[in-house]
Amino acid sequence: MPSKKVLSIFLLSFFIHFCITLQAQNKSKEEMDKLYLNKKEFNIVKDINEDFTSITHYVILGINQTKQNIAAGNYNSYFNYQLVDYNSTSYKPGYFIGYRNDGFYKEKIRYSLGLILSKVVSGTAYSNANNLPPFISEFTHFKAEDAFINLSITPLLKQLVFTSENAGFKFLFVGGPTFDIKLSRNSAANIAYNPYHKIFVSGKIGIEFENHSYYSLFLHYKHGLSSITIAPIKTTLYNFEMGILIKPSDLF
Amino acid sequence: MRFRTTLFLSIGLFFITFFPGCKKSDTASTISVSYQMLANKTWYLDYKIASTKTKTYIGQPTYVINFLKNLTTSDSDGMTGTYTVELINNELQIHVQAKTPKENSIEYIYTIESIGVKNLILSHVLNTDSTTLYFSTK
Repeated sequence: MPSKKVLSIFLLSFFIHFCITLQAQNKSKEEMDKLYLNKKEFNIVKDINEDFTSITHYVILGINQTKQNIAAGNYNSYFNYQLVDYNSTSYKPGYFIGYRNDGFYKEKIRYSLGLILSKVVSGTAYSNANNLPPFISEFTHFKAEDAFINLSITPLLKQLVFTSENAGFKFLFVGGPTFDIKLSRNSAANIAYNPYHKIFVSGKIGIEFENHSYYSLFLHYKHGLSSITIAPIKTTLYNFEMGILIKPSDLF
Repeated sequence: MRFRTTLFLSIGLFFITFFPGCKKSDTASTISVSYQMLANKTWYLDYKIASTKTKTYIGQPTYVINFLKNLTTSDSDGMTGTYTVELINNELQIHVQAKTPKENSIEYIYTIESIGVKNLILSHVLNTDSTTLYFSTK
C-alpha cells in the first residue's frame, strides 16, 4: 500500500488539476495565452491544459449502498460488544453529491475526474468473534463505525462500448481508482484507539448511459483495495453507486 | 476565479482535511464510554473466579450492584455511596467510597477487565488473592 506521503502528493496534484480545469473554463484562449506569456510559472499549466480537451462540467448526485467486512484479529480494548447486536451483513443506503468533469486526454482517451462528498452508511459484517464461555459468546472488542462522511477523488478512464448515432445515446464502461478522505470523526468508542485511516483507496468500475450529453445515468461498483482500519483490524468496504450527471447550466 | 486563489483554497482545504483541530483526549473518551455502559443499570453477579475456583450464581440469589448516572451506587449488601471511573496506568478502575448499613466508611477499587452494554468483568486483589467477577444486566 502506498505511504500516506505519496498519497498526499497524489491527491494534491488532483486538486491542482481541478484548479486548472476551472481556470480553463473561465478564461478565453487569448486571455490564457497572454497569461502564459507573461508568467513563466504557468507554462506547466499550458502544457497540461492542452492535453485535456472537450471538458464538460457536471453535477453528480445519487445514492449508494454500502457494506463493510471486518476482521478484528487480535485487537483488544476495554470494551466488549456482542455481535448479536452489531453484526449485519446487509448493504445500507447513503447518498452523495459532487462535481465531475469529463473530457478527452490528448484528444483520444476519454476520462473523467470527480470530487464527491458522500455520506456512507454501512452494514457491519464481522468475520471473526471472541468468546469467553460460559459468560459471553460471540463478542468483539472493536465497534466498527457504521457511518462516514467521505470526500472522494475519482479519476476514471472511460471506454465507449456502444453508440447510437441517430438516437444520440452512448454506453460507456468506466474504471479507475478512488481516493477517499474520511472527514467524519470517530464515535466516542473509537476516539481513544483511533483505529481508522484518514485515506483509503478503492477500485471502481461501472457502466454509464449518456443521453445526448444532456445527462448521464450510471451504476458503479466500488471495492476497497486498502483496509480502512489500522492493523490488526482489517476492514474492507463494498459500495454500489447509482446516480445521475447533470450539467450545472441545466440546473440553474 | 483566479488560478492562484483557487490553488490556495484547494491547498487550504487539503490542510484542513489532514490536520483537524483538537480532539477529546483518549483518557476522557475511554472514561466517558465506560460511564455510558456502566451507569443506570443493575449488575447481577453471575460467576466468581477465585484462585482457579469458579462459582456460578445463575438461577440463585446473587450479589447485585447499582451504578446510577448521578455517580451514586448501592448494592445488595446494603452499602451505599459514590463511585468514579478512572484510568490509571492503563488500568480502568471503578473507585467506590461507600458506607455500610452500620455507617462505617469503606473504600474499594475494582479493575474493569472488560465492559459492555450487557456484560461487565471486574477483578480485585485482596491479600494477594485475585478474584474475577462476571456481571450481567440480565
